[in-house]
Amino acid sequence: MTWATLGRGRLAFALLMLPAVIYVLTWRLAPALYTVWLSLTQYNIVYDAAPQLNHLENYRRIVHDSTLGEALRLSVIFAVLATAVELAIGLAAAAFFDSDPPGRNLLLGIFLLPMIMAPVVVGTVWSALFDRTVGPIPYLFELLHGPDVQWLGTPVTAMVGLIFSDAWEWAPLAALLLFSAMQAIPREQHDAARSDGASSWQLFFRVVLPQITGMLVVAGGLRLMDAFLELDKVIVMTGGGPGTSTQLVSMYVYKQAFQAYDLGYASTVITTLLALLAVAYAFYLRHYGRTLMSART
Amino acid sequence: MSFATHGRRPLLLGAVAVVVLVVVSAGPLQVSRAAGMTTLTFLGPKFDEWEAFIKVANALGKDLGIEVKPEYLPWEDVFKKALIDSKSGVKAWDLVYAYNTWVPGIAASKVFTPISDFLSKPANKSLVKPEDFIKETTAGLEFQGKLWAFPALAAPYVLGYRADLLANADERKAFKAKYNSQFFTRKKGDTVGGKAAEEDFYGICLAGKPGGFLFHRYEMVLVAFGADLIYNQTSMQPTVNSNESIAAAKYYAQLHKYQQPGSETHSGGGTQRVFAADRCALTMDALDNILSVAEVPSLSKVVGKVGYTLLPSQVASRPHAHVADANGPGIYALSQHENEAFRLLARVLSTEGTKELMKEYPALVPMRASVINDPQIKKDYPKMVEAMNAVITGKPWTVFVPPLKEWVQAQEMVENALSAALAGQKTPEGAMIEAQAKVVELFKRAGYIK
Repeated sequence: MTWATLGRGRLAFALLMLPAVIYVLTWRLAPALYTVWLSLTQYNIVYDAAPQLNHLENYRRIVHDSTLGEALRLSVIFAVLATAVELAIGLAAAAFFDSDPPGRNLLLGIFLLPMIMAPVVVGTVWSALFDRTVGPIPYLFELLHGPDVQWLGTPVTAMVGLIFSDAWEWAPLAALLLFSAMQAIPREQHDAARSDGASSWQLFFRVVLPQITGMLVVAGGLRLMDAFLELDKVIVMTGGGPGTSTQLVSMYVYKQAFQAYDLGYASTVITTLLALLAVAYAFYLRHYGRTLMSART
Repeated sequence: MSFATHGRRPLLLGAVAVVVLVVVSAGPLQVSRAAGMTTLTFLGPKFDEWEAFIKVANALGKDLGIEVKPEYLPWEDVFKKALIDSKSGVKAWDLVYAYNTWVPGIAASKVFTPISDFLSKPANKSLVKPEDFIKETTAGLEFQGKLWAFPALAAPYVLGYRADLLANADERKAFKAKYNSQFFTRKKGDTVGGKAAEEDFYGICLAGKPGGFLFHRYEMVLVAFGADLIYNQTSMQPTVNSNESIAAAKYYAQLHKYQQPGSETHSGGGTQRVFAADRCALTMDALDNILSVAEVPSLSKVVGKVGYTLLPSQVASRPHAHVADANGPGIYALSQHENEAFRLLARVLSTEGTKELMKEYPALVPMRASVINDPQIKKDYPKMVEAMNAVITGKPWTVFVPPLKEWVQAQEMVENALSAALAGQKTPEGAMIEAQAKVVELFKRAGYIK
């Protein structure tokens, strides 16, 4: 249906569309545009009475900001590794639940619990688990005569600790999505493969996996974008340290906006990130469309 | 299946749950107003001392017809909340907690009405008796000649040490013979205090969490080595790579091997728990932080075993030096009850009021000489009085962090560099040279240097 063919229904159409248009303009677009405008200003909320236009100075600064570059690199590493771990655990868990084990619903409920916890609580829990004085993980290593690992005290182990905690929180989401995709596969296909002599591995790789690829891409895409912007657990568990080894990009923006109160520059970083994520998201949608097409054929 | 087959019970339960949620969520926002009472609001951190403050304020405020409703936030969020509310014209607050490093920002953004504005009236001045405040503790709350918050809780930095161990020459000698070190780190099973240590025992416990804890401890070493706090305040030249600064960084880095593991993520409270658990010979912290854990029998195995002394310095002209903290409630500039707020502060933070506060929070380090000199206080809080007398008579070289707009950024650059050095990512010297370049860039951008 086109605008021309609507005829007298145009008014009703416009009225019906109005709430959605107002919502998008006021709730979505206006704050984004305000952020873009702020990105062109010098505005320290403590010391400046009002934003002062400084044109592209903040963008010039961003180009030479090595700390931001490092934060972006760390965010990419964190997002890719955390997503990979979450998908791997989620896939294994989904396959387990799809095999209909006894007490499945109860087990599934317990498995999903971390997902409904506030990220800051997850961070606190894992901080305590890794704590050298009271934490059970270092204690376990000591009991087993394992290496004396300073979990949140060295750059590599601090990043690993963050990835563990993120995987603990979000692998259940991947599992839930993949489990629902597996459940949609007709059981007859399993039976047919079995009667043809397929092993469990063959059944999984030849029958199940090709049909859940679309959902894998969805789960991976969702987690990748979310993990890229991780903040809460970083603040609670490592504060971005040691050094800046776990200072992800959200933490960097947070520091600019709420520790240095430099809202102008923080907005510039946000705007740039938004542009980068938009490009990544466009690629993702394009790939997702292709994956769906190939899954259907 | 129809709705009727479920019956009404789920619907009823759902409705009850919604009502309970609404009531619970709305409860804390309500500001009750008892008949004839003025209700003041307080925005501050949920620390023991501020909960004590609210309790005493409500007890002493009754006579004045004043009650106080607190709203607690994480410490670091208090100023942000007050600032954003103030910029938005929100008039919800009357009293807001302030920390000395926030004072320049508070002054610039006019979030508070200065206490000194009230003190310009003779009646108020005689009520408060500002000459009674210990100057070494209150300077951090002053800026541009004005007092911005009411002095409540001093936090001079001191060394807390295990007097039972470090004063023992045999312990020191045996330790040095075995480890060839003056520091008191020992392994589980080694003898400490005449018996085998149940856990590893460390030379020094320091808070090393990024976000200020680490830098605040490092500041003490900087001033001890005669270094600037990041920059020369006269020339505005960054001095992170000066000889003194690099010497301080190297010293701090070598100190790291005697620290408790996990110090990289420990705040002040976590550090004092380790000290109080009889696992540390020495700690450097704000006096009230140490007192609030190490001297509390329910929390500490070392009650009565801790001695307090001023921080040493290598600069001959000032044998003791530290960067002090100060805390106090200020009066929110948009307060609807600023006179009542002032009257209440004058009452609660008077000599008698402070003594009441100390009953609720025994680790409180008062900012009034009349309290320190009170015979009953001397009797009831001997450790605090011992330490404060050391401060008053020893007159350590006391500085507060400089009122610089870019201070937080500059501090973070140096803190990150130090943290990287402690983690072994960089040498202390290399880390400080890199930090210097960043601070120089920051100062150039701000227009302080060319």
